[in-house]
Amino acid sequence: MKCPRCVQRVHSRARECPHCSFSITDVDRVFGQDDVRLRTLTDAAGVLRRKERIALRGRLDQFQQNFPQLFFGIYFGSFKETPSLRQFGFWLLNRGAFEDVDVSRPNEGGILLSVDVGGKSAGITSGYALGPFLSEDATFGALSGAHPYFLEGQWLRASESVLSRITKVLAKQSRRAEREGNELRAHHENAGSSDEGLRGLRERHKGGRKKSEA
Amino acid sequence: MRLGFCLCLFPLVVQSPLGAQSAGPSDDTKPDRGQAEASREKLSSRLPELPVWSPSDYEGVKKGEIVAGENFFGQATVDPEATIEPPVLDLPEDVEPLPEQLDQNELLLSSEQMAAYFRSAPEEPLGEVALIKDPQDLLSQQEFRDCASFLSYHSNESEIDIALYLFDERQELSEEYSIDKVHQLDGDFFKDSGPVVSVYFHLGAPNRAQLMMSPEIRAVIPQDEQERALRASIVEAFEKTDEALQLDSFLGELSTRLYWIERELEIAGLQEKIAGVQPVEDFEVPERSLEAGSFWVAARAGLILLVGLGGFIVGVFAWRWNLRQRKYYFPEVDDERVFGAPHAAGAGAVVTFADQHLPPSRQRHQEAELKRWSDS
Repeated sequence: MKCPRCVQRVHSRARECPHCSFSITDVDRVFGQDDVRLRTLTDAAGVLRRKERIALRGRLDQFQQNFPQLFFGIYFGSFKETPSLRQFGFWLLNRGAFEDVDVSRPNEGGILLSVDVGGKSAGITSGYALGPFLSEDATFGALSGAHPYFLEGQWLRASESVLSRITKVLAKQSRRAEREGNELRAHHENAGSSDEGLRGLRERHKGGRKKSEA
Repeated sequence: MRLGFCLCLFPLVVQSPLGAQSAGPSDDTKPDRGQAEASREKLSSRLPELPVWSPSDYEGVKKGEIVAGENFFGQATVDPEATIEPPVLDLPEDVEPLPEQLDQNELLLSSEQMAAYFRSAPEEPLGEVALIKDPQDLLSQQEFRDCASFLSYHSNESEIDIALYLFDERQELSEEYSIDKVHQLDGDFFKDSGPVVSVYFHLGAPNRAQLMMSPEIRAVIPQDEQERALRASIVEAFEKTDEALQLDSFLGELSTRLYWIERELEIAGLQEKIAGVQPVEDFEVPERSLEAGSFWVAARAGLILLVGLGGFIVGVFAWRWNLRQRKYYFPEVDDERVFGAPHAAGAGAVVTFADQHLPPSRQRHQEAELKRWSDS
């Protein structure tokens, strides 16, 4: 696991980065410590057409069908200041309450593609549940495949490319885990260990959403 | 004593040419007189006359005018008129008489002798056709059996039999028994056993061998190939010096050549059979039925193609549907809170796409992002 700020390896249970003392409070001070309410496809930058949004939502729904424990979120934004996309993704996946995601799918199983349209960069953040299955190299491969579309501003194609590659990687990892005899359905059947916290999180966001800089 | 010793050696000396020359005409009673005289007569017929004592010589010796042995021990006088006669050699007797110069008529086999080759149906005791004919008993019994055995073996293995006629080295055949006529005659004997090759073989003279094949073979195999087979067999026979071995080699090579001739006959027969089959194109098909048939064939092919294509499309859709419906699960992972984050800490890759000329690996963010936070 790497620190979102200094990109140094840290222990998996470190409260803060031993190198730069990074913790979630640092990003909370920047983006806000309250939870934010959003959808899996958020086009804050306004780069997608309606048809493209519909098509992309369909792809995201398909992803959720294939991976009952996971969800995929895409955020298009435009940051005026020097972007720190890795830290923004880290904050959004921890503080985001995705309305169109069932509460049975906690943010631990979330994958977030953050695209800074203005700063021309894209990054991927994943939840705790995907730590062993989605490496940084895999995310880099997905972004590299979509790089030509990002360069041309084809946001739909770029998002679909990233989604497709991530899907393939996760499917492969799932089959490998299944072969190794792990109890794949244990989490699905006994779901609810973190539902309480997530339900509470999202229910709180239903009441009133605090504006954040995001 | 010395006289007795000389008397004992006398018969031996007389038998030798030297003794014959030195002994002179004085013959005494000795054993084997008849043989000695015969050989003496034979030698005297070839040698010049021996010198004889005359009475005047005897008187001269008595008076001392002639000294015995003077010519041997005295100075030799050369008679200028003397002539040297060519030496007469005592050739040994001829061990083997020279071949008799037989008359051409004696070499020509008579009709009676030739009739022995064709006198009766050449059947063996078991009823099989005799493939070797040697009424003159030119081969020994063992050689004959070996040769007959080989021809029988060849007959069993090959469709073309070999009918062998053996003659002596210098024997001549009359015109009426030329091989082509005999083959025609003899072919009746072999008509039940298929094609046959008649061979005239002169023991000791393989180069005089003659060969004649059945008409069915000649119809397919060209003449030059037949001659090549004969020449090859003759050459093979000359590899050996013994007459019987020459015959063995000749027949062995001929049998091999006949194998290939037999193969050619088989191929020719197969081609003939093929040629006898009426080509399919020759069949006349009614035009209407052809059109109807082609329509149905095309319709059937189109239907099969359509069904196949439909099946393929359905299969692809089913595969994609199955793929879309497939669900993937992951094992449960213990929650490990990092940086105090409640749900996620997996910081993945970040790539910029500002420069079109740089690859993604060169635009990957790996450095620390401290500036913003230090400002804030």
